[in-house]
Amino acid sequence: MGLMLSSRRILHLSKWEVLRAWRKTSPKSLLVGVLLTVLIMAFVAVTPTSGIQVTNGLYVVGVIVGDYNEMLDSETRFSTYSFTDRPTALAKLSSGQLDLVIGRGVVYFDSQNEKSIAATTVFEEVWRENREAVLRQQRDLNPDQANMIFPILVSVSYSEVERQLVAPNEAIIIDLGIQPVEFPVEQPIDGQLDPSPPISASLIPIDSQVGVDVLTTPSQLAPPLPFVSTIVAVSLLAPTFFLSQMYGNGMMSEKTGAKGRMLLATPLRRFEIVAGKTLPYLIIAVLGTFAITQLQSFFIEGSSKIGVLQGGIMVLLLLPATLMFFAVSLTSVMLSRGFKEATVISVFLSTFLSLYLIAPSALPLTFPVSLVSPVTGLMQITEGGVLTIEDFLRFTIPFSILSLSIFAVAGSLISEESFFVQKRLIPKIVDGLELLISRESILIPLGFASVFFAFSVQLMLVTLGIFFRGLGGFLFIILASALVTETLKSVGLYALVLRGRVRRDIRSVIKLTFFSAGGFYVGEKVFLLLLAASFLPLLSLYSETSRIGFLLLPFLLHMATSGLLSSGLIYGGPRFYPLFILLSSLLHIAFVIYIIRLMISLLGL
Amino acid sequence: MVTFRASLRFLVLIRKEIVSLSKEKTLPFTIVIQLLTVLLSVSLASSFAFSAGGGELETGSMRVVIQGQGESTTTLANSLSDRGLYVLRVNTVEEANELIANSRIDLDIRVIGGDLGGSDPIFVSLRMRDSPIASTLIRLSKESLEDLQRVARQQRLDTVNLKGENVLASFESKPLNGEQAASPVASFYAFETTYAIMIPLIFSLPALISGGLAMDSLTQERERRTLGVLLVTPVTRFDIYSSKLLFYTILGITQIVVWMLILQVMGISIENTTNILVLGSLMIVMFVLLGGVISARFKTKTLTQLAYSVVATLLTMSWFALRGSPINMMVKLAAGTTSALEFDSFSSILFLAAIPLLCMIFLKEVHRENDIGLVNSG
Repeated sequence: MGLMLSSRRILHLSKWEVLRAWRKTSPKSLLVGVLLTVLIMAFVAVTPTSGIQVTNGLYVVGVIVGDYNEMLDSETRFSTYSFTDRPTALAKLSSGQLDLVIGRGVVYFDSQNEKSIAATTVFEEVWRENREAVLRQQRDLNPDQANMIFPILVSVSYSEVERQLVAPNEAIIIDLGIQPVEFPVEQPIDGQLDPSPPISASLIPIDSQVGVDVLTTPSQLAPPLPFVSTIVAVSLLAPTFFLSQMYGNGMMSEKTGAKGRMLLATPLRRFEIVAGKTLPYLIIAVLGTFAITQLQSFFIEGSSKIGVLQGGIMVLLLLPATLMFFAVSLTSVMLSRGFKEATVISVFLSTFLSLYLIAPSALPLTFPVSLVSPVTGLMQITEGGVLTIEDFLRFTIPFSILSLSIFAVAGSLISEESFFVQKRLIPKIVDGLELLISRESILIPLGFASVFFAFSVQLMLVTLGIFFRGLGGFLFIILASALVTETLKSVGLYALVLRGRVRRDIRSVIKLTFFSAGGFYVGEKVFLLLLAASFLPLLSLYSETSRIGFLLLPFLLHMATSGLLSSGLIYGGPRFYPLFILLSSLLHIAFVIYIIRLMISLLGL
Repeated sequence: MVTFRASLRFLVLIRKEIVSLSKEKTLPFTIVIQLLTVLLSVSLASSFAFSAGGGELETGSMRVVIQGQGESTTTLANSLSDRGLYVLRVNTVEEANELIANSRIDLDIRVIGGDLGGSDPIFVSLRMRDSPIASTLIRLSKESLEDLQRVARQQRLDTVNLKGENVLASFESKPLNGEQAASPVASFYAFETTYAIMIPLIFSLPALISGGLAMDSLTQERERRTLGVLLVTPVTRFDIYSSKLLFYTILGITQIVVWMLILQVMGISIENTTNILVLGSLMIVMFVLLGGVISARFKTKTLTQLAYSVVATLLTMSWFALRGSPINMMVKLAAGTTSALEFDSFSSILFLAAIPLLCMIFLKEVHRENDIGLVNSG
């Protein structure tokens, strides 16, 4: 009954939100908006064809002989100038006016000049492509010489390197013009023959057999770069970017225009207000994302068509991230004091979130880490991969918990006081937490939820740490990670102490230590289980090490750091919070270093 | 005297803007946004570059088993070994399978057909895990296979008439001072990531953000109804608008200067700093004027933000897609390709023409607001 009533209220509020937004939107603005969006899409469609022109004419090349002009003109990065004599051209190269000088069969460059070295690499690529194009023409003219011109044929397959035969007897040849040939058959080690008989390779269209090795020439081998799928994934986020901005503005109008006060005077509960206001934007974002999944193949060159079911899965996959953008938008509105501040905080948080979503998915070195960004899942689907239910849950659960937690904190700030009283950032956050923590035991779920936030921030730090290689990068990651973990673990505790809701006795210290450390510890383990499939090697190591107390050690660490923080806060007061955060972080780092050393000794590295 | 008073009014209004910004958390967040955006782009570019083989990698830790007969297998194995891979050469399938069963192998290569000078194709199959290092393995294998292809072609094409085309002739790279570059591919990726991605972003973000802040500041005055209060003082509407635009232009230019200093500290060489500053300032003026026009034209915060986002996105995209655009010019200036501002292309002329055009629209809009007063506010 209560649920029905709540749903009805939420829908009623949503209806009003839609009507209000519709009334405020003039047909002219709508038309302009649609036209501009179409223009953007047209641009996206045209740009891959025309190419990115940022580096147009970047390298200045001097050509001594005229034979290469056509080849060099095909590369937009080159500005070419003809020279009749070598010394003049080399003098210009030496003075830095030219980046390359090309003579017959020789390319001069300045090895002290980074730009000149880069130009050499571009030239080599251009020359190689030109040579292959000429050879392809020659092969077409002399088909009987195809095996002479392209003597090497390569097949690539991605699977576990294990005891399997790799005779390319099911290969497809794409437009190579070579004669059909019998492939040799290898004998497997167990002496049993491959059941499939050898076949003659012939010109079979690539789409006719899926999952079969493809034969190609060495120059046509391309590393699997997820460039197009990254563009598809980013374009799917576009409706969310715009709509979360509009949602934030709508909420800000309620706040500044004092209309929110009227809402608070109604029997609506806070979560109903948040849900009612969010729902219309969320629905439009979901529909917009789905529409893009169905239309992207028309405006993104190189992308393939996505089916309705796949599109639906992609939308569901992205839903927690969409919710997160809305949560972030609401948070920035509730924490800010004006439009400008709200915009900047919202852009800051959205940029951070985008960095978290997009960067890991494109980082091959952090492959297991990349599996926690839903964008990786989107890319997996775009590239025709299979998404298991485990994958789906792994991509969505952390984000869902995190989004709902942020909504809860931001939603708790929707009160008359926050609408009328201007406060600084930290007191505002503390207000939100204080309202959320009705009982001390709420610290347990708060600690649990903060694991996902801590992990997201740590993931970002890992991403950023890649740019600070060596010991500096390592220290940066562990110091920042420890600071983030300890701050998030204790932020609820700090809010309680700051508001004077904690008694100064040992019992409170023990109780709060147990609540904050316990919640975080349980969250950490649940998170580990969620990631089990993607961290299999790590998990096997974990299960090995847990036998010797690795399950207990993290618990002791959380208890120790939380104990240090809670006793420091309760007996020292909130002003000592930064000091105790630092101390507990140092303790945390010492533990991490100890574990790393222990692992190294266990693995015998 | 009038000019002096006008300047004083300007200064008072600019001071008000500075106080407002310093009270809010706008400025630090703005700086962090720029840093994060640059990091996001560079991280993406680096990861793509890394996949393409431009990154540093401990190739010696990658283990390859190669099985096959004849000189083609030897040539390929040697080439892979030269590239730093740990190559285990075996002759039979049994030996290869035994190795795979007993140790960690990242790449399994089987070569079928060993005669480099023969007339049959040489088949090479590569098998690897779909793992983070797959891209790097493919890149390294590709280079070695191209070596093998070159050797085979040299032997086979001697007998083939290619109609006089000397397509197999290779270029000799000659450094001026006789020293070869240590890592040309890595240098290439480092250079292109810096000048084709980082520089355009670093010098276009201040313009985008300044324009957005100028627009927000003006819209906020109207929505909070403080514009009316300001107009009670001895300042005109034009004073309020233009002082805000001036302030955000100066703020944008300051950001460019700070970025230049940061790049210098990071050891990234930037040529033609004065011209970059001039060009960057023109870009900022354009975006700030755009923010001003949009703010004066659209009355609600949502519409102004939406219009600015879309127009700014379109403009930035066109700058990345058009030859001779300000961004293209900025890159060439920073890399030292050119030392002078070139305005010889259509896109550059459009860019220059846009500034006075926006000024005119802006003045017209402010004048229109003067006529209608505060009727449309709120």
